[in-house]
Amino acid sequence: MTQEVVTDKPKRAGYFCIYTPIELITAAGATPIRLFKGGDADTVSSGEVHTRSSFCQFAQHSVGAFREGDPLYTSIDKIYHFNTCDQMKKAVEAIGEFFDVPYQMLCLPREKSRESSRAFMRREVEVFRNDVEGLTGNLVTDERLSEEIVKHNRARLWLKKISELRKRDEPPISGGEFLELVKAFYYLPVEKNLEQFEHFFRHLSAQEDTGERPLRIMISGGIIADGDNRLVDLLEKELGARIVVEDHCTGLRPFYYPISEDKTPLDALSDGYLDTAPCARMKPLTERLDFSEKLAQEYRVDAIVYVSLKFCSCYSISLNSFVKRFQGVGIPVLDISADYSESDLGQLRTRVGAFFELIKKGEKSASTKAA
Amino acid sequence: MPAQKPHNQKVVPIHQHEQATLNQREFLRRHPSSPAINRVFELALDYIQRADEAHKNGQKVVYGGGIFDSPLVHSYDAFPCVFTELGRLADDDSVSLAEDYFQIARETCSMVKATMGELLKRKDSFKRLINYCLFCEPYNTAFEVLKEEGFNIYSVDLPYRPAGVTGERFESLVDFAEVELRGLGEWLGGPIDEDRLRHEIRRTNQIHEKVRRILTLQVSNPDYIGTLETLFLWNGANHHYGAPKEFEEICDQLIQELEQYQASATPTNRVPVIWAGGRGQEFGLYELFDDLGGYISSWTMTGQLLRDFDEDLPPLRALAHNTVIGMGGPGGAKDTIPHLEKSLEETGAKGIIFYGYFGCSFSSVNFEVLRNHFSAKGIPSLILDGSFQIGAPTGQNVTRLKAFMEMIQ
Ligand code: SF4
Ligand code: SF4
Repeated sequence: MTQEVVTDKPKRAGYFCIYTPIELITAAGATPIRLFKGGDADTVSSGEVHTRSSFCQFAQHSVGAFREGDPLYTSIDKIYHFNTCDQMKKAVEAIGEFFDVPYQMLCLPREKSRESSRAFMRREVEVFRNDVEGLTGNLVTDERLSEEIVKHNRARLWLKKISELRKRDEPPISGGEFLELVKAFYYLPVEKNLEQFEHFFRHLSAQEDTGERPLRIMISGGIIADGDNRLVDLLEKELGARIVVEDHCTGLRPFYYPISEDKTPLDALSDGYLDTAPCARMKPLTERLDFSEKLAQEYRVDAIVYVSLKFCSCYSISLNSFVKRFQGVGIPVLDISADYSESDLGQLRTRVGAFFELIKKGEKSASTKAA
Repeated sequence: MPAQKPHNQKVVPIHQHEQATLNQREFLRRHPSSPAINRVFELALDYIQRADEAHKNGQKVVYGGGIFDSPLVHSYDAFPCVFTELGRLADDDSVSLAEDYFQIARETCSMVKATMGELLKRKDSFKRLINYCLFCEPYNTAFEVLKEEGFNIYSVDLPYRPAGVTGERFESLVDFAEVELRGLGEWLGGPIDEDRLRHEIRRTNQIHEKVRRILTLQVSNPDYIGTLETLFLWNGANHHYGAPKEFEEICDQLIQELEQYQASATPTNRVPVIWAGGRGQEFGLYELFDDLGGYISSWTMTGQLLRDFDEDLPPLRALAHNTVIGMGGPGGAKDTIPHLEKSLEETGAKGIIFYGYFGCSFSSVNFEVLRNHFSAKGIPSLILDGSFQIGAPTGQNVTRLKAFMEMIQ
């Protein structure tokens, strides 16, 4: 176990996955930093030295960022990882092993509706709390925790409200811009975000429609990392479509449901994070598909672009079920198996362009998988 | 009369290139070995057929029961049909079926694809399957998809145990596992019969003891049975290919053969090597390893597979305990180091072979960590990426294995 020296400078707790109850980190006086950079092929190659090729490039990039000495990553005092997929779990172990970064691996159940799983999650959240207390030397009181839950809920709510403005025929904010707000949520102090989000919401609400209705797209699937702008730029800047909602963990999805403010704070966090809009690693898969369908209907999307990173089992193996579900409701899906290399951009452009053409012609059967 | 050396007296020579095209099921059938090992091969070969027959005869048959839960499955008089064994003797067409039907990406590990393809082919047969949430992502997602094909799947929601978890937190995992296994019991057929479970645990421990004895005898007499044969033996150490009584008899027979052989054995020139990680079915690789004068002095996975259930604990607790410790996956690479170090010391092994399947993220970081650790201590190691289901070894693996064996000799 690494010796944890308590100093006055706030400790920086890094995490990768949205199943990490960050309220516990802020309540302990530490700064939570979500580590979700991606998109750079050289950093990927660097990470591959330790992961070998069978990893998704986000996981490789995460390892590579430590190896390359990215200042944000190397400023982290400890990583907390509620283990989701194998690759991130192993990436965290590699980071700990090869770069001496202290980490705490926490268990995340999959069968979230079982009583036993919920009770177990609660125990793991307690382990997490005790560990952050050890890191900072500060006790996390229920009172402090409740305050943090309220603050973070408000920030989530602002993001959800901003996102809902995209339900208009002519959304006042692009998908690319919404991702910038999400980044702010993960990189900046919540207090600062509250002010900004509110201001931004008021500003956007006041914008008038010009009567245009762009093609409305939902992006679904695996992570769209900070720095992985290729697809979003292609869809919005080059092809003129609008991403009106994101069914992935760096878009709207983590902000959809609030944490209960009525339960005791630890119960609220443990239940609330388990009940967040599900990622594909949770069971049952049908629940995830239900949520995706609900989002697509709610935002009246014309089509879905489903992105899975190569080597990501969660999102690639469940792709066919996803496509079948949306064929059932008549929403076409284009599936993209992506990585961070530049080489396939031309091909991507052609595929997305052809898909949009079909949709504009009203082809509901434009989906690329699931016969 | 002392037993002969079947390992060195092949009635039907199998050459590398011939083997490349040979159906490996046929290879098992024609492979001469000890009489006891031939019986193991027979058990392995008709395992699935016997599961089907049991199903036709009205016995409850479930996919599962491979490692931690076989006593529980047996205690319900159910037949455990281990789904990994289903994939093990599968052909390439199962892999392509899984890729096409489920649109599983090519990068996905072949173990999952072979299993999925086989399950799909058999979807008109029994459909109950036990999954463990601590299995890897590909399996967990694939089983969710398989539910759409009408499979009735019970997931024991036990998460991956992080490295170094002990004490209260470890017990918390065991508590969780116990509740989950009780749920599995309900799914298998109602409340758990503790006495019956205790009996099954005792029987499994007894078989473990015999397999351990065989491995010890085999290590001190490595010329008697080869690597592949040994692998098929301990593959069955927990599920017994669905026939515990017969499997135990075979163990007795093999112990007798080995003891007889030992009486007149001459010292071996073979080089001891540790096999860590998975057990691929590229039979040619094991044959080559034997031909190059190696023998496996320790299989890391056996340490976990042959871990006895604690008979002092209430039976379900004992089961939960072993489930949490798990096989090679949970606990990460670090948990494996003491076991490997002990094996190196005890057996004088000259190197370690890490065998993983293409596309397996579980093993790849573990192997990197372990290779680093051991190379710093001057222990040579080799990482091989293979495929799970039967097939010829890749040229690359053959070349690398040859070079490695040459080096350590
Ligand atoms: S993209 Fe897939 S494999 Fe990669 S971190 Fe996300 S869930 Fe894991
Ligand atoms: S080899 Fe790896 S990826 Fe394949 S089934 Fe096993 S743990 Fe999963």
